[in-house]
Amino acid sequence: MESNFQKSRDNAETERDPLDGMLDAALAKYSAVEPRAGLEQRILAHVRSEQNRIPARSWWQWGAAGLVAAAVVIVMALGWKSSRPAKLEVQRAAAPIQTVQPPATQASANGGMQTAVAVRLRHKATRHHVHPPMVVADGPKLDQFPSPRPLSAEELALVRYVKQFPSDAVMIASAQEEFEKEVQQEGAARRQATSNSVEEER
Amino acid sequence: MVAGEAILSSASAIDRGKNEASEAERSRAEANDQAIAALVGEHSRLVYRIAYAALRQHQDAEDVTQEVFLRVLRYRSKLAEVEDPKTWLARIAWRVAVERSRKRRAGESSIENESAALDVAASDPIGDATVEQAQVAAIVETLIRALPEKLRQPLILSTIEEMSPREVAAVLGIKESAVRSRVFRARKILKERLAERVGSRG
Repeated sequence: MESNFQKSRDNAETERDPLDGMLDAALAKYSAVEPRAGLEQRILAHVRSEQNRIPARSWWQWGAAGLVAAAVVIVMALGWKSSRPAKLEVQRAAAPIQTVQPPATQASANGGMQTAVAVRLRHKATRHHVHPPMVVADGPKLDQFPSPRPLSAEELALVRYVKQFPSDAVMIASAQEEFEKEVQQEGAARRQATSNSVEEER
Repeated sequence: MVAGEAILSSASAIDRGKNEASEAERSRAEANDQAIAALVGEHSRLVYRIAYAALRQHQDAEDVTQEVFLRVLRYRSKLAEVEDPKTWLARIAWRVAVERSRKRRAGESSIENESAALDVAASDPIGDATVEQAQVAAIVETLIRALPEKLRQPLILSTIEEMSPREVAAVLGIKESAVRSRVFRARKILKERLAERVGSRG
């Protein structure tokens, strides 16, 4: 039985042997190729031509790279400037510090007890700072002044009107100016009259 | 007068320094040229065979060979640091060839379909003893193409006679034992499939 198995295995191996040989031969040929004659010369010629091109190209490349880098820096700076968040404008309105000052009469009447309380309250008031109100600007801070904003609908209508009727616009403008002058003069006269009357009363 | 002499002497020293620097640069460039020429002379055939093993086309293999030595030119300043130029070149060649093969495959219709490849192999007639070897080689090539990449890559690199298993392992970035076992498995699969083909014909 064992010999039969051995025989069959031997047979299988002898059957496989030619296959092995075929496979080995095929694999040996798989990469056993020769390049066209003069490959080395072609490579060296290519390498030399490239080598000659490299120094000339490197200057050009450096220049281009420098320009690109400068452009990138400028664009980034501009972008950063325009997208910078609006500064919080803190209105430093002097918030009144509430100090409790008891009337002199009461203080004298109640003695040192009242004075001590008043001093303590004053200290407390100065310790607790009243936070000033924060005023946030509407839009981002612009570089130009006056800021180049698009005209409003009214302004556009006015511009259109001035273009269409320039003489009327001039008349209206001068009339408006005169009216404002009159108002200012009246106001000045009124202020003068009130100050005179105050002096007379004194 | 003394100042003029000093200027002249310093100018000549600078000039001498420049000449020395340019001479050193020139000699370094010459040394690099010689090193590249030596690499081309010694390893261009190996590079070509690796490229051919991956691409199976002479023109593509030559293009890859040129490309490999152009890359070497780009790294010419670091040539002295290369410990094993043969393996280094083999690795570059393999990478460039695989990259090119992928690009080519992306442009073509897929030939990865194993069954289709095997059908083509099966349709090849085997009969005449004189053409048998060539036909077996063609079948083996088709069968190799149908192998999974993990097995195919070490197998085709090991078909290159200049490549030892250690070098194949270095190129593929795997262990030498892995190369041996994968080649063994690939050969086993090939033999089985070849036996099917030959048996079905015989």
